[in-house]
Amino acid sequence: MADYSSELNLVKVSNWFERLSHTVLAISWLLLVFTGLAFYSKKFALFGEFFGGLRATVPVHNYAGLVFLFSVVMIFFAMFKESAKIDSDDIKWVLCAGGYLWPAKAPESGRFNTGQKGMYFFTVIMGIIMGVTGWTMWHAPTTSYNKAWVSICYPVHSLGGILFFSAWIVHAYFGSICNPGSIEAITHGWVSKAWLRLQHGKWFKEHVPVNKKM
Amino acid sequence: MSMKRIGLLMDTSRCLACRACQVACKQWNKLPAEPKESWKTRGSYENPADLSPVTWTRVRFTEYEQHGGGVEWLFRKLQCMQCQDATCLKVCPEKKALYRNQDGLVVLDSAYCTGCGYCTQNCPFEIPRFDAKERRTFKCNMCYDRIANGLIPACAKACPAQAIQFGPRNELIEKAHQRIQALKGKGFPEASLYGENECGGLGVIYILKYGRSKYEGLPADPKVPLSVKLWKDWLKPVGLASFLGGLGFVVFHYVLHGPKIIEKGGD
Repeated sequence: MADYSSELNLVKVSNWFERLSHTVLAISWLLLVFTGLAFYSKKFALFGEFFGGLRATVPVHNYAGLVFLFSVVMIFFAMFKESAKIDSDDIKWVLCAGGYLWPAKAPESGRFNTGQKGMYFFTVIMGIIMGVTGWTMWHAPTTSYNKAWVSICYPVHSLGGILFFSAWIVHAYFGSICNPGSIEAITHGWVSKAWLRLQHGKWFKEHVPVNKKM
Repeated sequence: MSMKRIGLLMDTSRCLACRACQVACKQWNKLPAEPKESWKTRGSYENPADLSPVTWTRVRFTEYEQHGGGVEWLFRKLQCMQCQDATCLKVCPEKKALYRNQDGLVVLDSAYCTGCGYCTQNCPFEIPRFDAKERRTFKCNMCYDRIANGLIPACAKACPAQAIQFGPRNELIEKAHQRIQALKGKGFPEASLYGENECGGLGVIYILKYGRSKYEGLPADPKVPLSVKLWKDWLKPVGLASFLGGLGFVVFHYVLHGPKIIEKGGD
């Protein structure tokens, strides 16, 4: 096979396990958002109609929640090593808001930038909180749990949903139209070298010597 | 509600625990009987043991030890209390399932029940009951169908002791105060009214011979739980602000700052 490595412009930046867990997470998340909104307020009850009415929405939300929780566990293992690499550059990144809000030069990022690491830990922690409270709400009518615990699960699940949803809006924006070329990194994994140098300069320099195959 | 609020007055001092109300309720609402639990094993003459998806009302027995040493039974009929500030209405996500009807009654149409169980977990009186097999909730609806057709609730109709009276709520409260005065004169100084202001005023009010703390299972100060207020009232503006904040950030950032693209040389 001919060696085209010197002419290749694209490099692969994610592995299959990362992409698979993120995809399962994303699909179950979308199901959870729309079914969850239908139950969040009577104003959004219309969302339930897409699933055949609110009654049919309950099991969709519950089982999508199980899939989501499973994918949270997957992504926990898939991305823990990279996300746990936190150093002084991450503090600098936070102090200049990643260079996104005002003219400031953010430190170059490794394989994950600080925002991505933050989203990772937020997702894992919130996923567990939502999972535990949601499991309780699901089974409370047929199981005798501690009454005070059940009562507190409803507002906690609701607040968690609010925070998760808002974080997701910003996450989806940063990962798509705000940083063109980013979606590819987590859908099929192939990104341009120019994109990689711009978005993850530190990692690019360490792992992708110019004109060399990865 | 422009029209006069209707209600039921439960005079517990007149109740005989004959349970005709329980039978009438089952008959009118076509509810099956439940397997009988022996009083010998349960240590109680109450039957059935609890409210359930097919038992919407029952007489609760409290064994009350008098000061003289004698024991007296206090009978109290349980059913949906028809709260003005109804927690179930606040938490139910399906407006077709749980609503206030034209007579001002809190009605649960189980055909539309989503099976989420929110009302069963948050009702201050623990009235709605969840059918685990059907995954639907059921409760007493004060015979709203009879009332809409000019009849009185089945339990009130069946009661032989005038312990259950149906009528305009303000008239019932007036009657109750008279009865309580009479009870006080008969040697029940603690006689009191329950439900005049609880939960914004209950549609079902009790005349109690003794203080409310003497009656087992009767909440001393029922109200919409704090957790429900937090969940359904206080968090709503937080949710709206959080959503608009996120969306606003995205829109303003894209328009004012723009995307980070290679051709721009970064930011």
